[in-house]
Amino acid sequence: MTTSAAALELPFEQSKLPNGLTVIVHEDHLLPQVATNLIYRVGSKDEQAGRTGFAHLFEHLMFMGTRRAPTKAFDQWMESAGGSNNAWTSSDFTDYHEAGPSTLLPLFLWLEADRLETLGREIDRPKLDLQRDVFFYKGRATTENRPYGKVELRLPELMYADAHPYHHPVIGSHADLEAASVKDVRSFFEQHYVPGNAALVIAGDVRAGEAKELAQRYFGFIPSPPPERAPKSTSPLPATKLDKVVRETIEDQVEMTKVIMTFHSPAHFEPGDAELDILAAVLSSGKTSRLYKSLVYEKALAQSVEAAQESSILSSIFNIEIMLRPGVSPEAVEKVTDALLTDVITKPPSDEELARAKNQIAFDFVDRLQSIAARARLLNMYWAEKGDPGYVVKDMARYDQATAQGVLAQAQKTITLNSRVILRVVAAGGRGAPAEGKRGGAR
Amino acid sequence: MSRANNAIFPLLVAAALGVGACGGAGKTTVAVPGTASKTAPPAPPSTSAADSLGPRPEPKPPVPFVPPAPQVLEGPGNSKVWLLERHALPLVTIALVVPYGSAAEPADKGGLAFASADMLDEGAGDRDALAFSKAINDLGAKLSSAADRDSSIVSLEVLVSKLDQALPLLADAVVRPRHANKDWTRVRTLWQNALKNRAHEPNEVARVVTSAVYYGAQHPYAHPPDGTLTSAKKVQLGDISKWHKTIWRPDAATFVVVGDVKPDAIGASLKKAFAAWKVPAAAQPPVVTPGPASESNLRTFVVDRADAPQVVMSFARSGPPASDAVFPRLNMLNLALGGSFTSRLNQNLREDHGWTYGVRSRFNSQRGAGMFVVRAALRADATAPALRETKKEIDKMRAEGLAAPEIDKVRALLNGEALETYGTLHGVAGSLASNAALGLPPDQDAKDLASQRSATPKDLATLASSYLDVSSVTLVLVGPKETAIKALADSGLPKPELVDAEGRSVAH
Repeated sequence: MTTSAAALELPFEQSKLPNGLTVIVHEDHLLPQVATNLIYRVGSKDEQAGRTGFAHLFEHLMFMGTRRAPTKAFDQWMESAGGSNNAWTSSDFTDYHEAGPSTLLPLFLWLEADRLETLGREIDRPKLDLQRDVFFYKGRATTENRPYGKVELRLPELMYADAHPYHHPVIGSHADLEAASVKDVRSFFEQHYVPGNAALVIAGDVRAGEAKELAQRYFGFIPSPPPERAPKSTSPLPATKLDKVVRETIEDQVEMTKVIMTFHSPAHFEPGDAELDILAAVLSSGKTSRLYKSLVYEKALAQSVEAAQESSILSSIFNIEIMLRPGVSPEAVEKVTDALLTDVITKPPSDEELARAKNQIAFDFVDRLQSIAARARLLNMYWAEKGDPGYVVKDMARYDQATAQGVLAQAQKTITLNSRVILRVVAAGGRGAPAEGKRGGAR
Repeated sequence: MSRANNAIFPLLVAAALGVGACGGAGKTTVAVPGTASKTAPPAPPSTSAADSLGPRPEPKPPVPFVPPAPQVLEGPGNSKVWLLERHALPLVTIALVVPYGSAAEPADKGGLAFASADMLDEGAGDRDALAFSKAINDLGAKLSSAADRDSSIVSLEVLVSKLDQALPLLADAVVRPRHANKDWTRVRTLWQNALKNRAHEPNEVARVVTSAVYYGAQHPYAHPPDGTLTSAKKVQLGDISKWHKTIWRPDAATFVVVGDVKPDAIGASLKKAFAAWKVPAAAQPPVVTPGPASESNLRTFVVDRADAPQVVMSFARSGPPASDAVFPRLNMLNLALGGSFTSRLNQNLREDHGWTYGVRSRFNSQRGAGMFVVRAALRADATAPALRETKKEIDKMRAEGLAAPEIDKVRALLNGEALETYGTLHGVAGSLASNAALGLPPDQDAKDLASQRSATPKDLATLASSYLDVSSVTLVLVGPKETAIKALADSGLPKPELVDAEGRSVAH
């Protein structure tokens, strides 16, 4: 691979406040701007049975206003000074981020410190009820209005056993949130929203010394968690293994049928994870990729194909999504796909395919460093997952060192045709492609 | 601040975000990417006495950002090169743009520019479609193309170490496209399928129908750049080849280059790669600058989507062309009205009432007559009050203009947006390519900010009174027919015409 490690390395200074908050500063003086990224190592995987949806709910609660920053003030102050902000929640993490002119750094830190310090205490019944309603309205509308949106809610349930932390979707269950008490919510906050469980990245046109001083000034007074804080569960995870082909068909307001095939795969950074990124490129990146060339280009069965290793920290999924052309039967597409998958578990990718995938990945490694907000997020994700914000060079090395035989070996472990989920999303009411030839479809 | 609000900017952004198979820390599955969860309850009480956090820091005013102007160089075949050097990363983005888009298409071939852009990477020079795709992917490069109303664009993103191998591919795509029948058959089918999918996406339907009914059938901006199901069937491969030859000529083209390159080197590389690109004998086709839509009264239209949980509201009135001196200042009004999270419309409809997940407005940046558009996906049962509140907010701004603190906020937002745009190669390239396509000068972004910084409250009030009259808009509702018709009646608005997902009248 041609990308030098030097191009990827982001200089940073890492320190820790006495209360346990990790502070990472990356200087870049090209433009007078700053980005902050505050990640809490809590996601939907940390929710207890019967209390799902808390991590994402908390992300919403964090925007509800506090004693110091009343409702609406957060965004008013932010935009009045030319800043922007947002947040996201995954099964593994919750991430809050801001960006704007570099003079806004103290304000960003003050606002984040404020909500970390106060929200657990200030949460009450009316706030919880109101946010829960909004939250579910948004969840429903998002699902109902986005074609194929139901897949992300159903897939985790089919892939993971009931007791697995990834069994439930991030949005959680309505019943669980209905049943949540203020005490439940407060206890979740107190367990996870503590300085020792978070890292703050400050990136951009700042001096490291000054940035660290500001972090200390605004976050330093927040206490460490009490020693009796409940330890994270250490019980072993249920096996991530399917013992058969699990099939399901979902109806949705869509024009075209979609087939989704999903396999269990190694966790992020585990051996085989990088090889599956390469396999995904071999299967669906560019017109000469195996699935695209066959299904879209040559046989004209599909509108689009996409394969991806979707990595998470406990366990991952290798996902293949195929949008069928009108009138094409899912059986025909599944048959061709299986033949192509059989091929990748029989023979290694060609040297040419391997080199092509590696070059695409090398480009992406550089490309994603463009904005300071993206760099702040990257440093923090490496911290959250590997405890090392500078892990990029080691990350890249995984791809550099990958071999065709290694890709084959991992494909053989992951692409198990007799144990996978196969979901079909079909047009509600029988429009679109005929299923099993029983209904008349488009001709 | 960026005028790149058409196909160009999303294209470059999408290409840049297309991390595809990349591993690394940035790829954790995100449940709700980019969606802030910011709906809020009534205000809690204010501060107490002793506070360890200390008072809220008052940000120092930022140093006003002045976007750097690109260098302008002579390119191959009388083309222009706009170059902005950025040496932080070993990357380069090149956007090649010509000022011909869907507004210049023959009336019955809507989508020709779009389909022609789609055919750009379907084989060129010595390579068929597969070999061409392979050659690009072998370099780890990204080549994308698009057309909007006023322009066509092809862009290349590549590591600078691969630039000299990638440029001949870009040149082949532009100068020696193959346009093979076999590829056109596939591209056309995928295109028509995508148009069928479009009819299921209510926001897309609102976009397509609003332009169609606002501008009216024969206007060059009326039809969607990606065409209609009817027009797509009429576009033939011969049309594509003819269109391609007509618009992709060097004397009409601008290369926008942003990244880790030097003027002499990039100038020489472009000249070498594009040596075969010559100015054709035929005269340069005129650049189309459409006039305004014909004057009309308040009109309403409904697209039926039975059982939809939401009604999409979309309405339009006239706006000036992007080259009009008032344009940057209208963007100030817009940011305050519906162009930001804390805008008046978003605060009212989303934050105060919870009727929508977001409402947005904008003045379309176009070479010809522009359009001011407001759009929101509303909870179906809140359509009538949301229409009322929207009108109320706009009328209020029209009558009163902006208050001083709001003007300060808008200036700060514009400064922040400019920094964000100029913080990435694709951001800069998108903005500059849009300026080039619209016939604006290379330093337009800096000029816009200067104009915005010098605007007085009186200037903005005058503009508001001229450009925010919404008494005779063209209003489109996409949602359950009965709900939409009732909401219009409840609001005292005219009875609607029922239209389909592409704006054609349907029988009642």
